[in-house]
Amino acid sequence: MSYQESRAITYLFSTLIGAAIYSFYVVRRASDAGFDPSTIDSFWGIMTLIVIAVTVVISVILTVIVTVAQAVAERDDAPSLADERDRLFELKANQISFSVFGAGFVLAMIALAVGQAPLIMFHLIVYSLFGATAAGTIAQLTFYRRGY
Amino acid sequence: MKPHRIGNHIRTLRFLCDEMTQKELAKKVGVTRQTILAIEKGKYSPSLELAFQIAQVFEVPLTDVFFYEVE
Repeated sequence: MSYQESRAITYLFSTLIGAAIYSFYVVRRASDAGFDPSTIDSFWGIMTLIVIAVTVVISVILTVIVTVAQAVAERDDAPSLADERDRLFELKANQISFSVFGAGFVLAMIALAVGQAPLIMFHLIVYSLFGATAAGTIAQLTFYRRGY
Repeated sequence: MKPHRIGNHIRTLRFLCDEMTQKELAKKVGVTRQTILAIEKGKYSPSLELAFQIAQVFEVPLTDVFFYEVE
């Protein structure tokens, strides 16, 4: 497995951890505390920022561990540059990410338009962010595996 | 449009160039070893610029390195 593939898997894994933290800790804690779904207060903003920060830290730690482990196992240095193939795959992956996030955002607006609680809209936006990141990373991984 | 494929003779040319490694070729043209590997396997079609650079390393015309075939 190449460095690019293992890096993509690392990003995917940390995104899933972030989504899991959001689902099982933040959302559950809020519903246990009996938050009013018709209002969005500072709690949601703070918790979402914390989840994003934790996800970034997990991603950095996992990337370092995977890079070192692969360097030891394969006795080959990690590529120090991103070449035209990396940039092309990143661009294509970003396109897919934007599409997924755009679809999630529209869905969130539809939910708001049909009278759903603002908290539902907020969750849809946050989940589409995680979904967009995951979709982009899976696309990148597929491009590296199958070629393009 | 019929399906097409861009093939190459990079593996042969590397062999003829004193068994040049993928890493050495990658360094000479400024890409990663994985990209050279992907090109050799036909999993990635390089840009025209990179294709010319590879041909220049082997000191052969572009058509001696890459070929285009309709399947």
